[in-house]
Amino acid sequence: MKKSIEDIWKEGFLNKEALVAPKLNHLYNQKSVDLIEQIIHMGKLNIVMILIFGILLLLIGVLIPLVKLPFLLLSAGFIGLSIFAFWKDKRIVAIDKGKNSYDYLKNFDAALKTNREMYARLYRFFYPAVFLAMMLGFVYSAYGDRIIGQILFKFPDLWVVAGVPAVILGPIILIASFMMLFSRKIFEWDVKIVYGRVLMKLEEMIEDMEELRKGDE
Amino acid sequence: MSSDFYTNFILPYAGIIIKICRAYTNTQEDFEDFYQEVCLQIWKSRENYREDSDWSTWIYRITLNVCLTLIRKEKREKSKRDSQIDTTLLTEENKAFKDESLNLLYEAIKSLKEVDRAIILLYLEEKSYKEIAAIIGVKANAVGVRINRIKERLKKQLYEKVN
Repeated sequence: MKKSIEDIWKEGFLNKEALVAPKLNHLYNQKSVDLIEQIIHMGKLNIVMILIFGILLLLIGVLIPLVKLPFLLLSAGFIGLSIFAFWKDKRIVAIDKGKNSYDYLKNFDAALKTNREMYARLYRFFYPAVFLAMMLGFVYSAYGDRIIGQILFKFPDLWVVAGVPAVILGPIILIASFMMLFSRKIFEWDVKIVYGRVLMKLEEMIEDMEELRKGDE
Repeated sequence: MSSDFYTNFILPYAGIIIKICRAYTNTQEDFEDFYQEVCLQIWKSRENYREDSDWSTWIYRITLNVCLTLIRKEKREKSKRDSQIDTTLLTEENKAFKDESLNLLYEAIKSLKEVDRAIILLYLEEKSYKEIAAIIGVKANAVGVRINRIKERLKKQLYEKVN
């Protein structure tokens, strides 16, 4: 190739057809595909979902006297969790895209880390709470009540806590505790599946720019 | 977005956006998505524009920043870092330009790391080392050294492809 890359570039773009802008349709109606905007949106959606779930549990607790106590407690937990997320945590904020690329990527990375940290904390309670809600919902349902009745009929000496044999309640609480313990791992695994590629690329770009910032290439 | 804003403040600089978006995408669909997102972000960020830099420099920044962090739709992202030009991407459908040399140059640029792509694009747009350093946020002397390395690599790739 005889031409320099500078000449290829200049001559290639002399043809105006090379620079025809794509047609934009209803741009102002389009949803952004920007990752940060998507995460902000997803975060809001998550918190609203937790709140809705809490309200749902509250309604079940009010309407079904048999499950009143555990469901009211769980509902309070979920509603509290969503309020905590709304109020207390530093929310991910839109980042100024007009900054230099290094600052932008650093802010982007920091925003992702803040978001991950917030949700890792949130899910520490969310995962076991969902599990508990499902298990207690079953245990205190009419079907669960019948099964527990049969078990107690066969083994009348079982230790019973809040109407449930400890041999059933114990493992439920144990599993919920493990979920609480390993929630960060579960969450990190979840994040890796969704954002793994982006996070790796981001790390590489920042490392590369940091080399260039040292100025000792 | 008001069509006036697009016509007056973005369209005159569409060339910059097109050149950068092409370097970060492999398909026409991705290219159009990236172009659209860049325009959307320029409009959304317009109030953050400070007149301490040219509007065109600011457009370079937004375009690069958006392209560096957007996720492509394509399912299979080829790891081409250390490979030569990937000729499988140069199908008729994927050829963005009529000029064959320009297509080859773009494919060679796409084989570079993301940051190197940004540096060489700005260099080809005749930005000074100082301007490139300011847009990317690195040191000017390091930019000079890096540009020489990138050019050598591109030349080698183009030479091997043509011969």
